[in-house]
Amino acid sequence: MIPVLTTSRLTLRAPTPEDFPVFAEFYASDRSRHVGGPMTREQAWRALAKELGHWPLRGYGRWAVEITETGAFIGIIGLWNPLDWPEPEIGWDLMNGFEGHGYATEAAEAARAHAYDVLGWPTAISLVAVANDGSRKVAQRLGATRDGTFHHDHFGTMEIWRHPAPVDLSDGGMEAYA
Amino acid sequence: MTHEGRQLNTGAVPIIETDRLILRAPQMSDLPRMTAFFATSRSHMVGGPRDEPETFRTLTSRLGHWMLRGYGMWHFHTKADERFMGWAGLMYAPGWHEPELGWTVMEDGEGKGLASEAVTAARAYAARHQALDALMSYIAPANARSRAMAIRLGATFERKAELLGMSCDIYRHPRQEAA
Repeated sequence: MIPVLTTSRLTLRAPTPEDFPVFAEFYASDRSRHVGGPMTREQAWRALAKELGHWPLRGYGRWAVEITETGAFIGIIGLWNPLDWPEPEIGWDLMNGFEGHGYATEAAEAARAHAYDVLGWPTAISLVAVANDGSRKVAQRLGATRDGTFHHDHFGTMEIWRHPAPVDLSDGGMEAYA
Repeated sequence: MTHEGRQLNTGAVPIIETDRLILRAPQMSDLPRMTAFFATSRSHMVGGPRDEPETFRTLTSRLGHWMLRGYGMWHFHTKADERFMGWAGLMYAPGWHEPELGWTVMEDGEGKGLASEAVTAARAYAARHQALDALMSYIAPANARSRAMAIRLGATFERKAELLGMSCDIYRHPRQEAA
């Protein structure tokens, strides 16, 4: 039900119980402040369950991303659309210690290609918390541009970044994903 | 695009049929009645109140529980009219002493034995297929209705405990007879 995607360095696959220790450590840390954390282990376990349960309800969701060569679990990245989101989103959370290698950009490109080519999304956004400079850079590297602001009672104020439409990626972009 | 629900294979969740009920995976079409329940004071014993987006998150976490643990909470509807009437099954997250057998019935299903029917089936299934027997239930001290049902189902008071900072009673269900 959850497809496996591969990029040059990464494998995107279903989250598993074995991912939980790293996932919980991220959500216990201050780095999670932009994405609803920090939170307790109990809340983090439910958050991991929500990642999985999103798949059967929506037909898509976020993958656990691992470095293909080492098997290290490095992030939760993919397609996210809870009921109170402005529209379906491409989201990325890198686990602690894996920032700065371009992993989020690489995995998010694969997720975006899946959204456009397999699911037929006509457009896609990413939400970036106003103080999350690292995440904003990923959005920019992916070619997204600012398209307003979204306020959420729990997650705070977020910038809406609009990705290039499928047609705008078709020159030179899409072959790279195939 | 934003509000679509998908009928996808949730094969992780087995289907159980009883005299009057079908126990099956939580699904998007349960959301309106779940949301109505979580808006009432009846939900305060089980984590409410919650608004509709929070209730959607509850749906996702229940499905994910099955995918992470291989067991979880069934939603049930009446066979006669396919009306979603509540949930019964297992919950086990960090902070829990052990897997918990829990249940809730929607208000218009109260007093008909529907919750007992669902819990009895879930309990038997867990013992037979999930190696989870002699289960416990957390009962909030103020939840007289739930305590009465636990006792009707043969559970007995074991001890007082604390769950997520709240005091509760642990009731122990009888070991299931081998079928």
